[in-house]
Amino acid sequence: MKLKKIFTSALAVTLIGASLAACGSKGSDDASGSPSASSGASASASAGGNGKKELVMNYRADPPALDVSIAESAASFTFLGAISEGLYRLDKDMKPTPALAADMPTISPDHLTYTIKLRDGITWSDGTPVTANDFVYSFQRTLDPRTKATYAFVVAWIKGGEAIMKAEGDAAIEEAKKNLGAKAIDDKTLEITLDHPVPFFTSMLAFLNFYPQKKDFVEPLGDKNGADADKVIGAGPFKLTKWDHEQTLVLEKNEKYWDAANVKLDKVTVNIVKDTNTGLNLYETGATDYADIRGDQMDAYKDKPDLRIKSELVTGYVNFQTKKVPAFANAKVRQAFSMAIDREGLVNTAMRNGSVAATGYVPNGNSDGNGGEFRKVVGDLIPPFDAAKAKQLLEDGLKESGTTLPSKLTIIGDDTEINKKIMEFVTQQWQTNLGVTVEANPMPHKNRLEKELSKQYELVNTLWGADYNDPMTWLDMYVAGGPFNTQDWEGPKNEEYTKLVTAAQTETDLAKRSQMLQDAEKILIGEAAVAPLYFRSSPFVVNPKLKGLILPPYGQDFELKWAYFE
Amino acid sequence: MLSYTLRRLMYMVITLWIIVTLTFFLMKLLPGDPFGDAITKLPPESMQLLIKQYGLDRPVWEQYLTYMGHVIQGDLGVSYQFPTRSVVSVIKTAIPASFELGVWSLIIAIVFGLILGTIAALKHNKAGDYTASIIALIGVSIPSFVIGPLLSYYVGVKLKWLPPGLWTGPEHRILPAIALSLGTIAILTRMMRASMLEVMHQDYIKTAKSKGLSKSNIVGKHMIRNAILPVITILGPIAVNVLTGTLVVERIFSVPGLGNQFVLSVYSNDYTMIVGLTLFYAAVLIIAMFLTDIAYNLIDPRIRLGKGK
Repeated sequence: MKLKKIFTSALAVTLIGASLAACGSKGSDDASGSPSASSGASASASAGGNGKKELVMNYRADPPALDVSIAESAASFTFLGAISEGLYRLDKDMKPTPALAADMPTISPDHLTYTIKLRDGITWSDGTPVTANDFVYSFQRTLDPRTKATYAFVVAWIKGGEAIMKAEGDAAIEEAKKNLGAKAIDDKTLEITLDHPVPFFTSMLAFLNFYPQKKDFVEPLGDKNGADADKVIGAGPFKLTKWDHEQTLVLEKNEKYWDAANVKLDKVTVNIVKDTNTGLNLYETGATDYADIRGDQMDAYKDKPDLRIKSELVTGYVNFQTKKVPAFANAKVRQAFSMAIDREGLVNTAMRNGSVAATGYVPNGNSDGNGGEFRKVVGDLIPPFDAAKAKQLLEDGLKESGTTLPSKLTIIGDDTEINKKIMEFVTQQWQTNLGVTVEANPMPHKNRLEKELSKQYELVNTLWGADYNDPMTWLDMYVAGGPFNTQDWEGPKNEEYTKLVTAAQTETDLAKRSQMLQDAEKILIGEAAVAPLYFRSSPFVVNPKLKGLILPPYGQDFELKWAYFE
Repeated sequence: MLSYTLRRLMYMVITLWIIVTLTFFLMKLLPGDPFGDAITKLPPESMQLLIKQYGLDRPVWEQYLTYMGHVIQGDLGVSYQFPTRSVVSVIKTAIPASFELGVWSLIIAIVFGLILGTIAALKHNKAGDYTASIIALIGVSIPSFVIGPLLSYYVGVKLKWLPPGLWTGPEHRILPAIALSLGTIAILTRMMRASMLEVMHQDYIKTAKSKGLSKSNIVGKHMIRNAILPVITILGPIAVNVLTGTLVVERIFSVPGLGNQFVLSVYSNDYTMIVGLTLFYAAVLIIAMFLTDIAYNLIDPRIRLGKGK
């Protein structure tokens, strides 16, 4: 009884104390939360006056390790693109301009050997010089199977790269590295010999996978390379000075950068904001200068200068599994399903995020590998929406192949908001225009991907993004027996297609190569081996005073080097 | 008392072991692998190395034994999505924000819950009672994923009183703490009200009144102190609820906490992270319940594990 009393009084005292403390601190919180002292961003905005020097941005997720070799996501690329640099940097037109290289490469007549002079006086952010050996080391490290780099296949375009990737055992790997076709002729000269001609290789040299790495910085860190702010080093316009995981990354101008004179921002603060509503709220209060938004948030900004729409090198499409549904092996049946979809309606009423109706498989803005834009050269290949004709095609196709459609078909896809809308729209179109019932089965992204790659589907609503800016990243997917030919597209037309694509892989005449790829796409779409639906865009709000911020269609989310405030 | 405590401790360890084991095997049933989309581009040679490194090539029971061996040594493994960070370090970086948010919201909830409950009881069946009850009703029925965005938009954007998100200064704590506390305020208000009403009809209150004690004296000294007891006993479970229930609120206000991390790890099949976080949450919950039980035990000797000992 006595114990109980002591205990209760003790609790009562604690509680009263706590509530007093709470009242006290509540009061002070209120004071600091008053409008005059609120967000730091608005304060700095007024202080900056003539072009502020600090940029604040939202970002959707904490980036994984900022390691040049291991990086595989747009997030890594975005931040490493600010912290470091390759031989070239892509400008606003996606054209490579000399960065750590002094000039454009000297290319041998057989298009296989690239000789590149490095710029004078380039250093890492700690002041030590960047040499040609840093590039060779980087390529070797990426190709080393022990590094387990996802994008090693890109670097393996260098002669001998494949051999390193396939080498087994430490000794064999080290031996294979010696034969890699990337050599430092001297500290300032890099010579790269390719396995086969890659017409867009100069642009590739601007990509993350071809950045240099500082061996005596990376090696001691081992698995921890790129894990924290003090474990990242670069030779780019900014330095990573702070990285509070899941919260904030701070980039500050790198004064040792060779082109520091043209870097106008002193500081870029990136806050991790996962919820787009909150992101937009922050933008509205001036706490951020950049926020990604959803399609349904676009309307409020329709006529404002804040809204920017980025067209990406991403195509959304439907695949028809020809083994699960024998009717889909018939081209006319596939054409019918494709033609029965009103793509304009899809992008304008269902998606409404700036995406445009697909006019082929390779999206708008993608290069043709010969200095032009693929889509402009090839034109619109998708037959216009025609419900009556589609219905006729379906009948003809089923008769021709002697097959029937199962009473119920299922389309799988991601269970995200936008993909559910897309599936709802296309299934409705098939119901109305073809009289075919297709049930939508949305599922988590992982499940969809697994089912798609293991061919466990009838129809799949999926998408693909370019790995590099060339039609090959799209068209090599559907060659006979390829791992991404999940629909099992076979037959003489596929053989013809495969022949064109494989020939293009080794063709050195760029005009010829481009022509082959164009012909390949014409077969792909003509056969409706895939049914492209839309070329994806994503909307952003950006402070209208912020200029020079590039939103590239693939690779990075944004390019900060040339950004400045008016 | 000591044997009771020891027995409880043993049960705790067993419970944790069951939870970890269940989570471990359930997780293996998740579709896909923990390596992300880009894995489709990884050459088979590296893929094999990766699988080997994480021991995924060995039978599940062997993986389980290895994992348990590490867990006993306090090593929860390395996150799959962030291969450079260990699960323990991720929890360590994320816990302060979650904890702080939980504590603030608990303080708000206790202060307002007790005050509202007291007012409601004193003004029984009058305007004050109805107001407090309505507030409690709203608090219970509106989930935090509704109140959060509303607060963020109206208080943050429209009124510009407080920042609508992020976790940088003290002013950033207020809105998420309020959003998280509403439900708890409601529970505490109702409990305090009921408890106060019960105390008010006790004989000793009548005695105090007939003695001619001042009203403030009666309320402060006799009513609240007695009425608060049952409320205190539920604070343990409530505290755990608040500390671990920050998931939605963290996302809405961009708080770099643990709940956020949990959702992310489930989405990306981050095996080690899922088991690690489950274990952590379970441990927090069980320890808090244990402490509450000990407290009950001190207050009320009738509560004993296994009758009559």
